[in-house]
Amino acid sequence: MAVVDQSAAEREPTSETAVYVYGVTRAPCAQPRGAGVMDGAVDAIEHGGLAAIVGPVPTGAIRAKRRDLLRHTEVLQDVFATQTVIPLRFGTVFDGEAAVVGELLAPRHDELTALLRRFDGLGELRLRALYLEQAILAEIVRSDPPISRLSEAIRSSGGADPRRVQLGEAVARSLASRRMADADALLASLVPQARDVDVEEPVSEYEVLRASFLVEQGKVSTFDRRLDAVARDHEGRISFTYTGPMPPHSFVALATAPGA
Amino acid sequence: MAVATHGTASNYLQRAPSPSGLADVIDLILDKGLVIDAYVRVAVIGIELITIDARIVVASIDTYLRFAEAVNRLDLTQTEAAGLKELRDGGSGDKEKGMVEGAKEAFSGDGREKSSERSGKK
Repeated sequence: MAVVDQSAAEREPTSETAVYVYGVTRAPCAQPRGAGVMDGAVDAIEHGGLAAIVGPVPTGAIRAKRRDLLRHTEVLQDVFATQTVIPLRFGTVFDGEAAVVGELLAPRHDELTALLRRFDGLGELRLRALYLEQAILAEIVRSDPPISRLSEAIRSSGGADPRRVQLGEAVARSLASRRMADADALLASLVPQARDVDVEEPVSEYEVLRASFLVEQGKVSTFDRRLDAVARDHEGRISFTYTGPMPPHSFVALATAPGA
Repeated sequence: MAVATHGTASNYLQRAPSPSGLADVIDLILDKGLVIDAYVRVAVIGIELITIDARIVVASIDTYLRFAEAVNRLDLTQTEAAGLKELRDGGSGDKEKGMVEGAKEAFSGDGREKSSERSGKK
């Protein structure tokens, strides 16, 4: 717990260290274990019933490494294990401890308090569903006679058959329609189990769905079972990466978009 | 709730309690989280990324040729046999990873290296 010296707010940002903020929770904040971003110790700055989870970082440009990205997540995850926490975006740095109070905890007190209340008892479950390339392509070829014929023709002609573009386009179309249908079906079965959902754009060709679900902590196992059943239905054609519950990263962003 | 049609483990799909790999973390914390836009004094720069398998879904000749290539590489007799084997053997409660690897084995019978099933869990 840092003591905030009001005069510090007047100082020029010449201090040796800046303050990295991981997130905001209610005071008192259980002390997270382990080192944080840039190997700094993790501490809390408390003000008005709120606690900013912070750590020292060098002033100026920071070259974050992969380890720092993981540390940011680990620190938040650690706090989240025992209390509601509002995660800040990676890389939020203030000039000093006084600035954390003067520019975050004090002026945004009501907004942060309301956010904490809104996310009490909730966690984010994150799901990525990915087609298994070989399986989905085989499925497409088997179930679409024109594609199958074209594929055969190109195979026997060998070399740079100009019809390859046509084949690829047909496959892409089929893949897109399967993706849409599968994503819709997944969402239809999972969304009723969640308070909110954030669906992102797929980032790779074989991605079916990338989404986060805001789920009551008490209903996580229900969500598990529902997803489990869905995953079994798609065994061998869709692989799932399923993570959480974690702090509501995807939902705080929605709640307070810049300018909101 | 659907009753499991095969396998004995209670959960077919394992939930990781927290993000484990970089791929899990990147899109989570770089693009999300509360933005205190007016108060950020120092931007974090120079994050040395980290190639993630992000072949954006773009309709292009390149994409089409890649799909055509992938389809041509398919060994349909292999995949059909694998499909049948899978039905017969059942999933036996394999974890997701097991499932992915199983699929790899099943569909790469010709010994070619497959790199397309990186799930970002490494």
